[in-house]
Amino acid sequence: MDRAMGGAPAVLTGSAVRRWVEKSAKVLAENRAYLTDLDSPIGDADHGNNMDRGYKAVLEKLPESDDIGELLKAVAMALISKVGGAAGPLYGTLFLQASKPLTGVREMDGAALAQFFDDAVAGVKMRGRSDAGMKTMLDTLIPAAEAFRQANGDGDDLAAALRAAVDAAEAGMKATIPMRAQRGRASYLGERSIGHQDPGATSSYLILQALADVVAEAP
Amino acid sequence: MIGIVIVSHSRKLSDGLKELADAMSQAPVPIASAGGIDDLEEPLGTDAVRVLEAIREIGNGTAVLIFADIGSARLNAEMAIDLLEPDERARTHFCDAPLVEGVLAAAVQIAAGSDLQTVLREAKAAAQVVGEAAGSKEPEGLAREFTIRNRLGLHARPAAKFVQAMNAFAGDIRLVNVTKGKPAANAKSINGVMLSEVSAHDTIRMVAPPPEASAVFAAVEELIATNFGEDELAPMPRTSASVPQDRTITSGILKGIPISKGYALGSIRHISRALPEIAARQTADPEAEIARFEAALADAETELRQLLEAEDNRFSSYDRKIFEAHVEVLRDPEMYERVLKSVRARRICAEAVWRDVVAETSQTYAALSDPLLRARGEDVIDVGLRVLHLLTGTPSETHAGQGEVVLAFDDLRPSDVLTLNADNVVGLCTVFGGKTSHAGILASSLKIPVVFAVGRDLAAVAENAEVMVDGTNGIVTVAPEREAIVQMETAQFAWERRLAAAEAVKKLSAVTADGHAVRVAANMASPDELGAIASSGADEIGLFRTEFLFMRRSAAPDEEEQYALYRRIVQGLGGLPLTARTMDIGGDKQVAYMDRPPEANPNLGWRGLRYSLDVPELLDTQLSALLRASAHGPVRIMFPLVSSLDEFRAARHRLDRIKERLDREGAAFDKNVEVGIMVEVPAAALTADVLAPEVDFFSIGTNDLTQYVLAADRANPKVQNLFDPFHPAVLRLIDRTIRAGRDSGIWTGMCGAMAGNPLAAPVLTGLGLDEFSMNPRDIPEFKLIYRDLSLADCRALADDVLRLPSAGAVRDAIQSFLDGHSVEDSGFVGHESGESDRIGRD
Repeated sequence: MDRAMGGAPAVLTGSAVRRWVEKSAKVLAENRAYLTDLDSPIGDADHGNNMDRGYKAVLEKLPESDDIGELLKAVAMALISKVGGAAGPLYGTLFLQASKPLTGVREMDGAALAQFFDDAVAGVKMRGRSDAGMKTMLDTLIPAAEAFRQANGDGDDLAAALRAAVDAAEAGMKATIPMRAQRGRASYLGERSIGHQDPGATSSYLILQALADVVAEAP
Repeated sequence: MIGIVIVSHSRKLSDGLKELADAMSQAPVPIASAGGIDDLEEPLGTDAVRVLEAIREIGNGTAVLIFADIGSARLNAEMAIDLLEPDERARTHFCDAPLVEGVLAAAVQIAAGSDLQTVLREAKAAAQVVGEAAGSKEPEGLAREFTIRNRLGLHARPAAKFVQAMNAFAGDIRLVNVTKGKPAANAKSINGVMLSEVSAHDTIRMVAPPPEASAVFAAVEELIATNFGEDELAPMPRTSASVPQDRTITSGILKGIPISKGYALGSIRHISRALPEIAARQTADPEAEIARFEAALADAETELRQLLEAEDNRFSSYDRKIFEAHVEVLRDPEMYERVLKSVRARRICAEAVWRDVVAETSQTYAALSDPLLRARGEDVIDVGLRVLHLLTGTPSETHAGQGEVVLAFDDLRPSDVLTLNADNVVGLCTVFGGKTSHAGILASSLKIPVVFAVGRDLAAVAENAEVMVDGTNGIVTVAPEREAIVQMETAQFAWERRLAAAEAVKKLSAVTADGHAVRVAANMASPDELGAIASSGADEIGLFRTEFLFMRRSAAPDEEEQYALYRRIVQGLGGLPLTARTMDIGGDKQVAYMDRPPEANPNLGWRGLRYSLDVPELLDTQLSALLRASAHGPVRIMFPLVSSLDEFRAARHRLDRIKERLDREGAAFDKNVEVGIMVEVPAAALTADVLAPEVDFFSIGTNDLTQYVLAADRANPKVQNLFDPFHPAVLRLIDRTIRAGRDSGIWTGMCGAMAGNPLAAPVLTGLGLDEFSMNPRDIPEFKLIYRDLSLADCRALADDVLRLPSAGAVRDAIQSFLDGHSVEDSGFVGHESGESDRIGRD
């Protein structure tokens, strides 16, 4: 990983992306029961299992490549075929859409990563026909993408900008607690979906945090 | 054809919905089921990759409609669409419709040949109420009222049939359920029709635009007259309770139809297919019950396999399918799971649970109108009883008891014959049943006497009463006198001796005592019979029925498949000629993928050559395959049900065209292949002199000829006594045909049941028949009789019988002729062969 002035890395390399994926898999495995507990009152009580299973499949399928587009596409396809439930196509689309401009790309700078977040958000919006405020993954992803673009524009380095994104993501995730669900199984509950943190928003937060950690821990 | 992909969280649901849609659409609409995910512990969910594969499974450039159940099913369906190549994506459409109603509506509309827009509209409208869908004002046009009489009314398959029929017409056609006061509905829409809730006995008003109206009304009339393809009668419950037993018969003589020759004496045992009541015994160890249940399933499968292997040669590939169906029931995961769950939940014995699961499953099948699916319900009962006997440790009824037993059935099923393996069963008899049924054909090959259609009195015979079964003459004697038993034993002795004599001459030529030779040929319905034919003493195949090739499959065999099979047969015959009859589909022998309309009089309908000429692609493919097979050995081609010279010329013209094409392509075939016709329509027999100069041979089909000449349906038991090929009217047509053939220098054969009847041999010989084609089983006896005849005497007999007034008089005359010609045992002849002219036409 290249470093600017010997500090935090200035770009996200293919090998860092692979470490992000491995870290995400670890974190989701650790939080499997937590995510499932969150899903129990308002969903099918399977989100933790689904994400864990999906990322385990991702680890098996992850190529030994530094081509970021290829890596993210592999992540997408594994999640699509293994997650089940709504999370499969949603996370699948997230990575698939975001991977498209990255074919052949081996390192991403801040601007590229900002574009990555925007593409990811657009993919999820398209697939889920949803937007902020509906008690979904997007309540985490949209503020994170905005915060990252803002911080990157302000000249923060990659690690700092990601830290800002994770902070915004955490706030967004917590903001789903008072929301009334308008998408997915939870929306059938209407008012009764209020008072529960959205499991999808939570897994998105965990995955973002994994990215920030990988960049911060970079050797 | 447009295809359908069903996406559901549950594989069972998508598979089940596919099954339902397959049954309702009645045509092979391509439907792929994409339910569940690959996770054994949590199988519920949807998988975009599975959906993608399902879309590609339909493939082949056709439009695909995707239906999904809830939530993420749609997301995954859309995901799958995104993953398609652009050209695939362009013809793939997500259909936002209620899953079950949408898929059924789409399947029916696709089967009816509707375009994509109509299919989409109908599927999306699937949950709307009638008035909204159709516009509730009384429509304009000509109107006529009809009363619906079929059992189901316009629901499920009848509704689908109705919609398909209506879609053949142009313009706006409306249906009003007058009885229920429903608003007018679109008669071309499955939803409109189903939501009109037309039940049996409801009156409907059909409204159609004037130019179409009379045709529309005729079509509705036709559907009603044919009961929408449902059976006339509700399926008979398969229990002995279906025959009231308010009296008991302890002695007397009962007459039925002889199916398998021979004599036997034993105590009668009535076979009931009713599931016994079983008390739900509590158990402390459900897992032990489950182990016992699993062991019983395994034992049942072993039993079936042993039966199949024990008599390997006896079973055709079609019969093997009956075993396979039974094994499938044993392996049915759903029934298995239900038993396990219930044993664990209720902690009761496996046999009680199994009994209930079998009862429910068979009832589900019994309620369906598809005869094949209903038959599956019967398979479930058969297998259910087998497992039940193993679980309870009681021997099955067909095996039970000491001493020699005669089994009495309401109605014999093919599986009863195939799974019969008790050494102490000496005879079979049935209340119902016909000799041309598949069970009848199978039973006729048994080595024990079998008598069918004895009537309801049979059910009233006291259990364990001593009965004597005379399978040669079709008689069941209850509590026979000592004298009758002695007579029977004498007859049996003579019969066995005669059988041995016949066996000794079967390989010799059929030559009369005064030196007149004829050809003796075998009828064949499937290549599985080649072995039996080879050992029968047949000179050739006089009739190869090709229908089996086309039945019980989802599409017609292509030329290569047919060619490969015909070639294998020709080569297997080692130089003996093969007379192949082009397919005689139609009448009551239906083939689903041919999509034929129901007919009020199928035997007078669109079958035989008349059907083939209207659907020439099938005929051409078959002719081309047969011609190519003729390069490998002698082949003759024969057209069925010819009624005029024009028909034959049209068929011959097609054949000549194909020969020209094969010539151009350089394909090898016998350019001089003989081309003949079946003479089975009276018109053909009466104009045989006109036909003879243009054909190479005649083959008389006596079963159809007899029923047409005597106006007696051979499947109708009420007129069985009239159905008699020995009627002088039939004999005169045979005489006329043979004479016309001889005048034109061609030969005449016979491939109907009469040819194998020893009683007919002297008359047919006297009339000059050149070839006798029969069930190979009958050949040894025929040769034995034939070698005792004298041509000169037979000619005199033939002259005499043509002038007799009735079939009875003819039979008497032949019998006394044979009695005077040293035929040892008159009981040996004088019965009809169990042979049927058309296997499956029953």
